[in-house]
Amino acid sequence: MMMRLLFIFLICLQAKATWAQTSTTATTSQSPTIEESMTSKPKAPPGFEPIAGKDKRAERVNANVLVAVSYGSIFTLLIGYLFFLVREHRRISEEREFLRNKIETQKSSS
Amino acid sequence: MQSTKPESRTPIGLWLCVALSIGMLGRGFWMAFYYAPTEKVMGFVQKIFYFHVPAAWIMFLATFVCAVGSIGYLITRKDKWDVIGDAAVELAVLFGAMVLITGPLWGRKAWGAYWVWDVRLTSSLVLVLTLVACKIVRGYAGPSSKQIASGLAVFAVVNSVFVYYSVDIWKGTHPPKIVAKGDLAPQMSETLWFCVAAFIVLFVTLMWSRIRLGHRRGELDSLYHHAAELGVES
Repeated sequence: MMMRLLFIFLICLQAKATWAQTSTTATTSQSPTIEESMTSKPKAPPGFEPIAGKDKRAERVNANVLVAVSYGSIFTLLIGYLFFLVREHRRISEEREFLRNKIETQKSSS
Repeated sequence: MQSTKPESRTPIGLWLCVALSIGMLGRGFWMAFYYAPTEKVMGFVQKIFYFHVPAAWIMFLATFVCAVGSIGYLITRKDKWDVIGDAAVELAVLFGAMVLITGPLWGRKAWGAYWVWDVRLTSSLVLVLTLVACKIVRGYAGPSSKQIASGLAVFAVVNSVFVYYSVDIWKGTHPPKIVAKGDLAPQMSETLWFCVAAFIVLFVTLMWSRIRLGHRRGELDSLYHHAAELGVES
């Protein structure tokens, strides 16, 4: 009985070895030639999905917008600061005038 | 008392500086877009460079002037030094804001991200935040605000040296100092130096006006004291 089981096991092993060899040969015969591999596109790494046609999700940064925003912000900051300076000068002038008048009035009344 | 003297008019020199600043900035803008050639690798976005670099240099200059004013105030305790320090710190924040806005816009195209935690970028941010703190302290820290703000300004100027040399020491993502090495094309170089000159004139103009404002604020304060002494209700 044991001899029979051993015989069946050996046959199975032989069959498996033969099948593995056949499948390897088939794969080798399907592998591309050097010319084919030179012209073919590289395979995407696992986990990445290739897209057919133009990728609409691709990032496009418009340099014109960046430059416009950049120079726009510089001039906005400058104009804003100039506006602040002019307003402060005007406020101080008004306050000075107001106080001076008050002091003159106080002095003349006393 | 100074406050009772008649209102001084804007000096003619200041008006000339204003006109010169506008003219030179306009000319610099024109040169950046029409005279300087488009850069081969970065393309059109490189045009930001012509105002970004001068703004950064003027930020350093303003920080240095601020430190001089602050040290002068810490030594002499005279308000005229504090007025210089206060004016310069405000301008350093203004030009620093320009740098921190235009730099990331360039970086978006060049690096694909508005901000990276590179040494130059991070130290520049710290510098501008220190200057902002300096300005806030001057306004809200009470009786010793001028001394604290002056101390912060000294810290800021030390940091500005660190910012300037950071690209040489750490060699991060930020481009190296190509201007100092003379690696620019002649037309690009001319444009850049013209823009630097324009920004210097602009800085002088703004500084002059801002120092005048500081003196006038001081005069107004003494006028308020005088009015309070006389019992005038303001």
